[in-house]
Amino acid sequence: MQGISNKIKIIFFLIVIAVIAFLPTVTSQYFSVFLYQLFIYMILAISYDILGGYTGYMNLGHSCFFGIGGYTFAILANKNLGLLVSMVGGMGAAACFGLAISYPFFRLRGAYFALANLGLIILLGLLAHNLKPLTGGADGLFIPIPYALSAVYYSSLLLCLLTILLSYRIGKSRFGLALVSIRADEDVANAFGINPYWYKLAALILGAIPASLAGGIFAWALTYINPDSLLGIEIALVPVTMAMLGGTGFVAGPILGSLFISVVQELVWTKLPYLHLAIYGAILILIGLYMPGGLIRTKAFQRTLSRLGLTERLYWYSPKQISGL
Amino acid sequence: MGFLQIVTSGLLLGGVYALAAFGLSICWGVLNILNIAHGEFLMLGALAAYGVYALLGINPFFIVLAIIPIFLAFSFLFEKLLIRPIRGRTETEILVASILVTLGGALLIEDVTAFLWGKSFTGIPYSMISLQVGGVVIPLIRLLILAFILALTWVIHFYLKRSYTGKAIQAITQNREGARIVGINIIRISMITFIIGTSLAAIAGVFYVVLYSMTPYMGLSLTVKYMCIVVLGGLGSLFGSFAGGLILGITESIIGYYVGSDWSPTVAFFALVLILLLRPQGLFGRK
Amino acid sequence: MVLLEGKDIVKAFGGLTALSNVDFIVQEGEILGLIGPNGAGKTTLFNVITGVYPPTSGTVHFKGKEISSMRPDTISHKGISRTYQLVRTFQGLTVLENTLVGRFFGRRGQTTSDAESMEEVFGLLEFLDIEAKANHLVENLTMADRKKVEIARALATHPKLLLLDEVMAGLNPTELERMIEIIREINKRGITLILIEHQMRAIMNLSQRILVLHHGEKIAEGTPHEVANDPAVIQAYLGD
Repeated sequence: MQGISNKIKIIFFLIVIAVIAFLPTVTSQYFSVFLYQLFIYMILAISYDILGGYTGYMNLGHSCFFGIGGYTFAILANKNLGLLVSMVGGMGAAACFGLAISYPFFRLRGAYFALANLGLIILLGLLAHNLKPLTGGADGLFIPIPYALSAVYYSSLLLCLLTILLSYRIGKSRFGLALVSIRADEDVANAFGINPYWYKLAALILGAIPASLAGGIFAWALTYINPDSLLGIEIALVPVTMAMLGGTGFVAGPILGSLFISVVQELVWTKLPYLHLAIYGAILILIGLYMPGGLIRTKAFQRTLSRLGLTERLYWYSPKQISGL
Repeated sequence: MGFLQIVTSGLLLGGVYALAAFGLSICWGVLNILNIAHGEFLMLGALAAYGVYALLGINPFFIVLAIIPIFLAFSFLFEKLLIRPIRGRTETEILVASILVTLGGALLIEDVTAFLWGKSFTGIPYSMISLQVGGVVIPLIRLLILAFILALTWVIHFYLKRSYTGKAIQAITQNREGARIVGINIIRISMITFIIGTSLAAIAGVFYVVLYSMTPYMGLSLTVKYMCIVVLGGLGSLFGSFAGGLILGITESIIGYYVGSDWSPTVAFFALVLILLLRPQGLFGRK
Repeated sequence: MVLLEGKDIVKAFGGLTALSNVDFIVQEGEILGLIGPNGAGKTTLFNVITGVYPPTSGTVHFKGKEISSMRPDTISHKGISRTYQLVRTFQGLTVLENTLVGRFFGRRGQTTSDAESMEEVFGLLEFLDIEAKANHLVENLTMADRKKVEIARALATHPKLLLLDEVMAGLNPTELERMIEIIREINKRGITLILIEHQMRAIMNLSQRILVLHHGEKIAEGTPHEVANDPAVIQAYLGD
């Protein structure tokens, strides 16, 4: 019982994308802004989950890549290197950063790893404040590249789709199998020929790339950035909340989580100007206590997903069907 | 400001750090959970001290006495509501759940506090006379705090070595399975350890606010700092956390003066990276 | 040909010496039994061989090359694989996926298509009578079946040397007979085996030679018959 056939699923997916691509021409500018911010959050949530979900290493500092990508983009743009070069520069800087921190930080496990990386956000925020000649300090930087809503919208949509594809392909690959075996039992995975450091590093960098590009796009869209806009605690923890709420370890989880929270944010935030962090905190507590697997692993969702043929057990499935399953 | 002054003020800061880091270390050792909300207890301790001082104007040591009952109750509730329910799960599940719950708790506490009290509150301007020691001016209050912390350290040391609970804490930290086999009630000891650990953080908070100003959002960066200290001193070494705290305090003070106060919060962080690269088991830890 | 050689192996953990001056050789193609009372250091020896930790002193040579300080993944690539006394299958993964990990990563240069790998792995599962559970999560399996998954996973790495740690513990007589058959068949396919066991009849039956450890020291070595009649061995098992 595989549910709906693959052809129909792909056609459905393409229709949805076409609709989303068409939307800016018929809806308000406000809605388009809401959407591209949703895409950016989704990119962050999914890219966080590449390391966090598949290997279990919860990098609470994932948005470091977002911040570095954005700041590098801004710095290079101010040197008149143009849109594309600045974006690529942001990506390169983030990848180098990931490589640099991986060596000491992958010696930590579990909560220490999580917290140390959160500390990186705080550190980068401090550096952004202190290194005035480079980053403009608390005053921030202006981006001299003109902003066009449609360009931002379509580039963030494209990046989002690519990120979804990336996470999906990883999940189905041998590489992904190595990652989840690290999550299950890192020492035993090691005993079966997997060098955990390389795989974790690869997952980290693969997650860093979309995040850094998203940072560049976001900086471009904001036109003016400062430490809070790219390296604040909220930007750091909201994608993690989204991934955990939706369900970690499977690409549908962060997608769902980011949709859910973005919508809730939109409806509730205007009525409640304070206590945003507190609400995220409460959500995290509730997930931790009652739903650590996230929404996609609740009974209701599991039933819907299996009817659509979208269960997690897509990865490695024996074609020889025997009794029992 | 002379070098000696910098070092003594660093020592004092270090003492406060050591106290809080030690609290985190015993919680980690016994519960096997890193409490991301640990820094919040320090912040709340500071806040409570500020409030009590505003109301009663008494000296910090009495403030400590006054707020202890509140914090015992608060820690008890925190443990019961948030930590206890996730104990029974498998190891990977506990890890994820504990990060979620303690991080969520930290955010909740920070934001609600900021909402209720406003964005920042300054330090307690509690002053006594200043002493002149060898050409250096040291406010008496600082010496007294340092003395208090040292005395408290001594009491803790005694407690760990002599009392049943203290020995149980050490046993569990060193060998969890062994402790269980010997019949130690890990759940009860965990509860007590958690309360002690977080209360130490709260006490540290009282002293912190006498010396420096606080904001409700400091909690997370403080927890990161204490985590750095615990790793620096060596996971599993209770003494190491203490020593690490002192070292960090002094280093921060020195860097703060010679390089700039904007840079002193970064010290803990660079120390962490350095230790991880050079000696991952920490200064005093076992491999 | 000598496949594996351990010379003067010492392993100490702080003040505790788990292995002292253990010498052994394993001939290619044989089944070596490793026995001894609980706590004798048998699993520690497995851990040293597979690189979980290096020996405090002494060396391990595999096919003539020293492997004493190599990492577990390198040792797996060289052709040594194992199972665990306390079963450590990958939770959250199916039987098939567990075995595929061994297949994909256990040895270098084994690139085959996904379909071929699945085919081969499925064959292994059939060999171990667990093919019906291929798509089941390992958490839902019995202990006996999970041990088989471990064996399948290890076999999937195409090892030259397979270390089995108490695979027969807790099996009923029928399962035991089947396991003995399986082990013989594995050996027939050219894989050298070292077995840690407490099931005396089985191990005496299967092994060409036996090594006996006690308190971390080798106290006897020889054919099953020699070892069974060795007074030191009898003393170790009865006297403790």
